[in-house]
Parts: sequence; C-alpha cells; structure tokens
Amino acid sequence: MVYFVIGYSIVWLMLLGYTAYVHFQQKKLERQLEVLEELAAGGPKAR
Amino acid sequence: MRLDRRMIGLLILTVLIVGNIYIIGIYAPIERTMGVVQKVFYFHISSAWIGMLAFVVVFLCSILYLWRRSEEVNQVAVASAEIGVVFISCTLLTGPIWAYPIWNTWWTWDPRLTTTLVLWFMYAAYIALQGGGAAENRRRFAAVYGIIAFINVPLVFFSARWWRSIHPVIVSSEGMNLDPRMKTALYASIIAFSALYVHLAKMRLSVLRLRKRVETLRENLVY
Repeated sequence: MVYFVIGYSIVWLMLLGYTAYVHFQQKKLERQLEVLEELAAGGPKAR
Repeated sequence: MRLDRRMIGLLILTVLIVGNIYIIGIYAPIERTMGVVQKVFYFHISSAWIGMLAFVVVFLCSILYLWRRSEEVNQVAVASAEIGVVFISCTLLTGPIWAYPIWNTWWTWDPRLTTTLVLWFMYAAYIALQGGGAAENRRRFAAVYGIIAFINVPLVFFSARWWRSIHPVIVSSEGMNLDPRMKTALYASIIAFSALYVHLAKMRLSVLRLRKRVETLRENLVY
C-alpha cells in the first residue's frame, strides 16, 4: 500500500507541478505583454 | 464564450481524472500475487503510452517543419516534447516503485529500462536544443534531431520482445492477458492521461505564442 501511495503521489505531484509551472509562466508573460503594450501605446514618450 | 469552452474542457478533464482515481482505487481488483502495488501499473503504462504518443507528435511535426518551415508546427513539437519528457519521467519514477517490492531492486539495466532512460535523455537534449532561441538554423537542426531521436521510440516498445528482458509484456501478439476489470481501468487511465496531454499541450502552446508576441513587441520597442 505504501509503494502504491508513493507512486500515485509522484505522478500527480509531477503533473500538477508541471501544470503550475506552465500556468505561472503564462501569468508572467501576460503581465509582461500588458506592460509592453502600454509602452507601445505610449509612443515616443515610452522611448 | 471562450471561457465557457475552457471551463467545459476543465470540467471534463476533472471528471476523467476523478473517475480514473475511483476506477483504479475501488473498481479494479487487487492482483493476487503482487497485491496493491500492482495498481501502480495503470499510471505507469498510461504515462509511458502518452509519453511515446507525444514523441510521435514531435516526429511528425519535425517532418512537417522541414517541409513547410512553419513556426506553429515547431511550437507544437516543442510543447509535445516537453510534455513527453514529463510523462516519461513519471514512467521512470513509478517503475522502480513497483520494481522494488516485486523484483527486490529499484533499478536493473534491463533492455526496456535502459532504452526508456536513453529516450528520456534524448528528448531532454531536444528541449535544450530548442531552448537556445528562435534562429532558423537551430529549429531546422532540432527538427532533424527530432526525427532521428524517434528511432528510440519503437526500440523501447519492442525491447522487451526482441531481447531477453524481465520487464512484463502487457500487449502481446495474443492480445492483452488481463482481467476485464483491469483492462477497463487501464483504458480509463489511458483516456484520462490523453485528455491531460491535450490540456497541457494547449496550455504550453499558448505560453509559446505569448512568448513570441512578447519578443516581437520588445524588438519593435527597441528598434
């Protein structure tokens, strides 16, 4: 039973960990994009 | 509308995963000689299958990239390779957990185990190769590498049949020698993991597209 629980936990920890990693990357890029779009809209001032 | 479709997709995925946990934990019978640890087999096999499916996608996208030179196709290959490595990591980690109580060893240099480890390293190298930037030459080289690396996928599948191996063979020429309830649990597991693969691939692709947009915008702002 112990080995089964360890195996099961590893699989879901890895998959959820990867999902969380992708999710955080997405959020970070969305924030960056927002800032860059604001800068782009600002035109010469932004430069 | 877009959010609704996403929510429906997530709901289906959740139902599949929860259903899979129920089927493996409650519905599937306990194997007589191995006991509960045999249930590791359901996600060990499923993750191996999905990992290999992901590498088939890398192979096809690599061919398509060399033909069409499409950035989108390259992004699908990168996303698929990354997810494949995650699933093969699950396979490589759950295998020893089953092996220790059954074989009395965590690891042995069996053909199936060795080829799977080599497969993991090959695709980890592929990701490293793709991670170096968006230069056309690099992408082309990665596509050629993605085609060559695929040679190892059928090798992993047939290794336990071609060479002397202690690794169990579930799918043989006579079909699957399993209890019907175990078969159902295995199919349910493969379906749930496939849905997870699709979901993760979509997520990863959207990140890659977003990164491309950020890079383009940054370049436009600089020059």
